Amino acid sequence: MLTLCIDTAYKYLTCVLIRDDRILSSYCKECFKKQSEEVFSALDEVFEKAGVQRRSIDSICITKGPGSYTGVRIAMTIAKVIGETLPCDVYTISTLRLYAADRSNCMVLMDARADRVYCGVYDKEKIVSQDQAVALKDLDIKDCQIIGDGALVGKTNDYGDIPEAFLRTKAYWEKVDALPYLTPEYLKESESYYR
Amino acid sequence: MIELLKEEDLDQVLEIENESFSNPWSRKNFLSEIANNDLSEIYVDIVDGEIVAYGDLWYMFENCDLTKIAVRKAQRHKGYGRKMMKHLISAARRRGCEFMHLEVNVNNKEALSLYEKDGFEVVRTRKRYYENGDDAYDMIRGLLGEEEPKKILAIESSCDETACAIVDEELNVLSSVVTSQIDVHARFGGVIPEVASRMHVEQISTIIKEAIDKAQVSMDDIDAIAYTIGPGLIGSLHVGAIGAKSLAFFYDKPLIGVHHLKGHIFINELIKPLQYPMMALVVSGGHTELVYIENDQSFKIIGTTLDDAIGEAYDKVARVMKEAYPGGPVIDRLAKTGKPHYQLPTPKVDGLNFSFSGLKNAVLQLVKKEESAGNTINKEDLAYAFQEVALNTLVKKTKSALEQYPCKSVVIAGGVAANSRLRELMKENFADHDLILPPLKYCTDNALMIACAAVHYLKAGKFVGFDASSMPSMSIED
Repeated sequence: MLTLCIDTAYKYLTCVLIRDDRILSSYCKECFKKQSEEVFSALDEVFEKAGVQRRSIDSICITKGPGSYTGVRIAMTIAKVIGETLPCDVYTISTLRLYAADRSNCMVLMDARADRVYCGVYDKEKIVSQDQAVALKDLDIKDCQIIGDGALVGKTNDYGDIPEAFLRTKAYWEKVDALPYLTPEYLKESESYYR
Repeated sequence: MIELLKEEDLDQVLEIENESFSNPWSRKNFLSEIANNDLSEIYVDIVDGEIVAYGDLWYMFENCDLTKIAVRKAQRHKGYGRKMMKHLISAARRRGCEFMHLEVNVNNKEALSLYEKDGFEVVRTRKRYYENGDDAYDMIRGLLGEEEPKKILAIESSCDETACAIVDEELNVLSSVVTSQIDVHARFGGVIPEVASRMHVEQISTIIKEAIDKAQVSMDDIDAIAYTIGPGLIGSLHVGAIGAKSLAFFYDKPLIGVHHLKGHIFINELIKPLQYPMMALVVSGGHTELVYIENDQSFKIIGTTLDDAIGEAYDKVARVMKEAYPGGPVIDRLAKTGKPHYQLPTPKVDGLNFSFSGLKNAVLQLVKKEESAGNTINKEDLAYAFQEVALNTLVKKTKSALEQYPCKSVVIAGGVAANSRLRELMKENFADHDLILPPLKYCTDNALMIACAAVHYLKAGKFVGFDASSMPSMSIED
């Protein structure tokens, strides 16, 4: 099975082609807020490198959020449009879950702006604490490895190897049954709703 | 717009039938043709609610018989005959026919020359075919071996409508799907950008799928993908852009980035051929512009608003009057029963530019003054006063523009083009021009308009790359 994986939810632009249990090619660069202009040249690169036809993919796996609203919508729009027209299966994974990969006992943090963070705690396949958006001051910092925006809590930023993470989390990908109803996981309500 | 004949169109078709043929069909003939003949298709061309032409095809295996084609007497020599003929040829080709056949009176020189122009050749003469003893020619035109007109799939998502349409370069509409978010935004009293972006993501795949299914094509049949590159809400534009780029990337198609307002202008070609030079009065929630269009590739803004767009002014005035969003239709409706009563100042701006913020503030001041004096505002009269001043300003400036830039045709485009009073005023003031008023259903945003404009980009070879950025405040001159 040939799967195209895309993550545009946060600071990095990641595209990976996975055949069964092997990475054929990958692209991963810091690209905050420029993903929409660069995602197709990145895709072109991974298809070129892997030497496979664009339309030969069997499935697409994307991060469904949380993350930057605009960013999350990029990969999701690609997956919805191609999943519907090609057609092909679509899988999603939480952005935090992806960054945790299959590590044991780790907390993933992502800046949600306005002094809030997206946070999820994972222990291999187990979800210790559900993804949520919390105020930074209320964050209960676990005594465990911090992945993502560690600098928010006095550690260093570490996002791990995102292409490799797609492969390692394959068992946690969720298959989308009704593509038309697939929507991003925003977690935080938009303030602009109430402005 | 050419569509299939419906029973309610019959009165008009019979008028044309009676003035065009010596042995006209009766209502009964037409009714049984619609109801019982699966092998027949009758198309009508409706312009401003009037049927200007129709044509009847009979499909018989690889042959298609053109049994009738007629143009309303008062509308002849305006290109409607050829437009209908082109449509019928495409319809027959899509149905898989190999040739098209018709009969014509040998003395009907005008029809003969039209058919010859469209590729028909005389194959034999039928002696004394008609009741009066006239001969007929059998004419045939092959449908194979010609290149299929190129098809464009277009996506529009610049504001609060998510839409997808498929059109071919001869402007045959294969499908058009629109979903509007207006009900949601009405709750907030205006379009909330983040809400709009979210709803576009929800709809995008469904509308594309529906447009493809309705057109009965596959992605392989599509020759180019078009989308609205700007202007509009950046988050909304993004979703349509990514959707379009996804299709172009995976199906290896050229990509066309269309200016939204060119869409509002070129959709009028579905009604009749455009004549240049042309003056466009673009009026919407985001724009108030006078655009001089020398030809289909040359756009020059000769007047624009210095502050609020006309549609914005309508929304704000409606809000002052505690009426619902969007304000345009509400004020238009109220003004219908309004009387001259309130005085509002006419905006004074030099040259061809507009300004509506002074007028809007004058409304606000007037309401405050009346309220503090304990008077209730007569909403109808206020709507009337505002609308007359605002719309007459548009007309006056358009007139000045035409004095400086003489044009053959005048077109109004954008959401405010749906305003009934503006349409009335345009008819009163520009009858000496070829005036184009878009049908109401095309005044709101849709993807058909993007596809119609994309035809001109395609012909000029104007494409964009996958790295093209959406442009929220793009000029029509770009």
